[in-house]
Amino acid sequence: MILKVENLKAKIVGEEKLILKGVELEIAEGEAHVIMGPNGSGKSTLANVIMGNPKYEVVDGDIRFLGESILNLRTDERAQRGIMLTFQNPYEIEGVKFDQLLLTAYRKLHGEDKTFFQLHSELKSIVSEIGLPVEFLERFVNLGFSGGERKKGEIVQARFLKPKLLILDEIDSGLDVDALRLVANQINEIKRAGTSLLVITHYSRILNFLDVDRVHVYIDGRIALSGDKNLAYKVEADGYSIAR
Amino acid sequence: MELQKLLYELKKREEFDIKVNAKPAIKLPAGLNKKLVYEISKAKGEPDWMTQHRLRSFEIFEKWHDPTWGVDRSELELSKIVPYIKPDAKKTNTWDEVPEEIKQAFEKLGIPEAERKYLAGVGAQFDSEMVYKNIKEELKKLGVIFTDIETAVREYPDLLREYFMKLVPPTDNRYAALHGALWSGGTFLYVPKGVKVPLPLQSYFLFGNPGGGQFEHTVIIADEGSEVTYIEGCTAPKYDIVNLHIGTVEVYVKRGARLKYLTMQNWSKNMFNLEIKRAIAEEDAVMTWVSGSFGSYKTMVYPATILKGDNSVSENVSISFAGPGQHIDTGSKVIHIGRNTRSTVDARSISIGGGWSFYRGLLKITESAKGSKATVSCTGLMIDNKSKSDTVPIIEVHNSDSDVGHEAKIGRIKDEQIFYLMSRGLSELEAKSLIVKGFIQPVVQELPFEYAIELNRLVEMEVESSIG
Amino acid sequence: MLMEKTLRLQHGSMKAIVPPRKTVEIKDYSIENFKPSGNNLLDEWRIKRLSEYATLQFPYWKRTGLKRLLLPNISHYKGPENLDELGIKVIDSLDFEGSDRKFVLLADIFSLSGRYFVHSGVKTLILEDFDSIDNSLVIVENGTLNLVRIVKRALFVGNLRILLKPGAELKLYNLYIGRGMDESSPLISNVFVEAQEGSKLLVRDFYFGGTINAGYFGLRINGENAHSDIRPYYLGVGRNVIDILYLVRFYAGNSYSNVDAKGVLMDTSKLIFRGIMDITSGCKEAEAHQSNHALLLSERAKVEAIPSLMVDEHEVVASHAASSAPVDEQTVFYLMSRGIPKDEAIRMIVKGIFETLKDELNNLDESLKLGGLIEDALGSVVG
Repeated sequence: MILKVENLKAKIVGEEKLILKGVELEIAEGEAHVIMGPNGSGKSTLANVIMGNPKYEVVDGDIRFLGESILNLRTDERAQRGIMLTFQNPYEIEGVKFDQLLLTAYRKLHGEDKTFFQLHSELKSIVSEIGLPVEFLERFVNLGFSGGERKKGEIVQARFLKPKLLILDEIDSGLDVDALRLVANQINEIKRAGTSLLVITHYSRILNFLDVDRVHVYIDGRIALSGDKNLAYKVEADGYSIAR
Repeated sequence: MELQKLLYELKKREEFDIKVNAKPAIKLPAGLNKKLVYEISKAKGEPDWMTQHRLRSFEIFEKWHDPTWGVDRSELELSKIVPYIKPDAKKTNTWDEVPEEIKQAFEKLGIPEAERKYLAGVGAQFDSEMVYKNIKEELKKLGVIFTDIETAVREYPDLLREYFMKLVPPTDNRYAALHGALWSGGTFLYVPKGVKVPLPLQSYFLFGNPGGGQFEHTVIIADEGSEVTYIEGCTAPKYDIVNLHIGTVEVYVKRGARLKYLTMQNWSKNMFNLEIKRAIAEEDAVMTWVSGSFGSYKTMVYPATILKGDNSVSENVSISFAGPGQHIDTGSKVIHIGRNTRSTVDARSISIGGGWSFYRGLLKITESAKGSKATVSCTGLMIDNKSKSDTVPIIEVHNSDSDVGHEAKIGRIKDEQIFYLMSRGLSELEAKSLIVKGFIQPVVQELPFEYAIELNRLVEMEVESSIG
Repeated sequence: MLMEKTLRLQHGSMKAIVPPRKTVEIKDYSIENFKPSGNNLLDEWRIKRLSEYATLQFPYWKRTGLKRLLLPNISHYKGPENLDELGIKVIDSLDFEGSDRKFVLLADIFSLSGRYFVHSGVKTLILEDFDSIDNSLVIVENGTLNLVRIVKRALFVGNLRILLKPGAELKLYNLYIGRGMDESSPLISNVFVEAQEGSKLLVRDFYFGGTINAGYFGLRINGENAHSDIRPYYLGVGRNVIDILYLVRFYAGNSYSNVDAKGVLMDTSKLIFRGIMDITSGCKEAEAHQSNHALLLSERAKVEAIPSLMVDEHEVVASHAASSAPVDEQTVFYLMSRGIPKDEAIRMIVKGIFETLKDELNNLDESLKLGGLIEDALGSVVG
């Protein structure tokens, strides 16, 4: 089991109300899971809590990664164990170049074995495969990026950093069909290379292009229903009320 | 159509330019000296502590130098101001007993009508004294005190002494000292613990005599967990000589209380308005200032909130209007002391027909105010290039754990906007005043309905008289 | 041309009260310290300035805490001795109030270093030979001048005046990296620029390390279609006080100017930022923007910002913004989610603030790699 979430309850620091109200989730190695849910149901919170965002506080339950609890680990330690989260709204960091961030991060995750030139050429080929110009690597992280560029930038990072578990938070929002297909193909590529996936989305349309093992319907802080890909289409046809 | 418009115009003028023919009972001579201060105290039949307070304040006034900033005050001759004008009327709680001339003036302002419709209590001050004060019975039973300061000196001396000129002491500045010596009239409002006053309370201040100085003093105490909205309206008809207004407002918002202070001022264009407004908020308290400043010759007003208690909140929304010949120097002051305190300032100004708007603000985050958040936004609307719009905010951040943001911009009415509205059938003037009305919307929406209408009408008038 | 005051507190017949200048007693120069330059035109001008100088005492700066000053000995005069008639006319017209009038006059009269030249063509000039009192004048006649000033002095009182003629281009880098010994050795730098029609100005200032840094930059826009991009950077450490003022005054429309200050404050350092964008009446379609963004890395660091807009013309675009905040927790989280430890993430963010400046300096002259100066400064404080 790569990820095991047990009765996870969490809230925003300083507030009373629970956002995660007892989430249960298991992802086996190499599998791709999808979490679907209406806006404001707390899907993104789940992703952020797994990654250890200091904005949230775990009240109860556990998160186990490869059998070990990661609740007491810092965000960078979780990343170094092999978890990666792509952000719904990635942050702008003026003055920090895209390649600078990635090379630093790569060495934290995978050590110093490869040379700068090896890493850089690998990076360049990923960037061009995703259809971004090579100059993209010279730009400051997310600064002045379009919505599509930000999403593609996150995918470049995921492919390059090769996490064991990749959590994609609304990677499909704001993308047109062509960009969506391209991003989905990249995600499939990442899966084929051995990464397990947790795809968080609001729409079923990205599922048309993804290899998916399991779909979960997430409502009001809990996983309400699980099934195969057909569940996603059913939700799309009948709305989230089927799970209530 | 034209005739109708003209009639409407005339009516509006009449309404806002009130002439009053009420003879005063006592009018102390112009000129400032200790003897005069003593006489005011005597005329009011004050206890010794208040007489001493006045005399001490006057001594401080004599020692203080004039502030070395702000609007040019060289035309303000303090020795020519008549500091105390007692109207020939007894204070009453029924309009029937208010002298006809004064009643008419308030009638024109719509005060008695508004009281019937939507106010929980009303005070009306003419020149230096309150002539009318009334509060709904239910509130009286709950222990709400709403009266004039003179009555409070007599009837609630212990309560008043604890708060009177404690937040704005006479040592604060030269004008606070002068106020301490000459104060007359004003409101005392006490809302007991946990009492939520459902309707606004209002005081209206009207200047009836030329050359007068108005020094009303307002003390408001919102005790723990209480809620109240207080409206202050001010107006003065036009006379040829300089008038002076140095009102002082002290607001104490106790733990968990919420107080909203609405001010709508429409001074005559010969008024020096040098007001002092200050609030202190305890733990979890919320203080809101909403101000509309119209008229006056020169204004210096900076409503201030001291966020003393943890998690206290200050909101400050204001609109000021500088028309021909006017120099309006306003701003806001917020001082964060408690932890996790929050403040917002939304200051808007309009400069038109050669007027000068000057925003001067202070936002201070002290070392103890960890985790605080503050935003200041200043917007100036310039209607022409004869006018001037300046913004000078001071932002002092003395701890790193706080988030502070400030933004300001100066805007204009774009030709395209006017063209667009004119293509829909509006005259240029109507188009301009419509855009200005849109600009002041954030203030308007904070006001009770009747006041919102009055503000909109004031803006219309000011825009028309400045451009037309 | 009248002296350019920092604040115009007047509008038609209306005026505002100007706060009086507070002064302190500091041992001043006397007439004996006036050394002739050998240039009669220049000395005539200096003597005129001296008569004004003698009426002024040294200022007391409350926010900066400047109360003491150890003036260097004057044994000789050195400065723009080669000033010709044109030069005198220009230096006289570029008269500003400055951070304080006393210091402007002091450098005009008692300079120990300085130069005067008229530039044309394309050139990169790097100046480091500053004595503790400097007075310089540059006329950029045409072409492009890249001027880098590296001021390492602990005590520095300097004037730089620049006239940017129509169509000329200037890139000005002021790197103030002197390590001040104590409060009596401040850095007081006054820079005045007049930008004429169609000129282009780029200014980058870097303040680092001095105990008291008082930087004043005044720009007079005197022609249409002038463009200026001004970016002050600051890195406050220890007990540093960085007190900077940027004034841009528009006398002509259709011109653009932005002042964007940013930097990092550590330990008990303090930044005072005053920005004044002043648009006089008739400057139609002028555009003025100003911002200051301070990153506070220590609980005891302080920021005081007074970003002012003064606008007498309605057909303009004018805005300012200011912020001060600790490092954004969510940005740090983003970097940490890529496996980067917290302190390294913060270091990255701090260095990122100066990255553009570093790149620009490196690109200015490939062989000199001036960006190294910025890197060294950063390296010495954040590692």
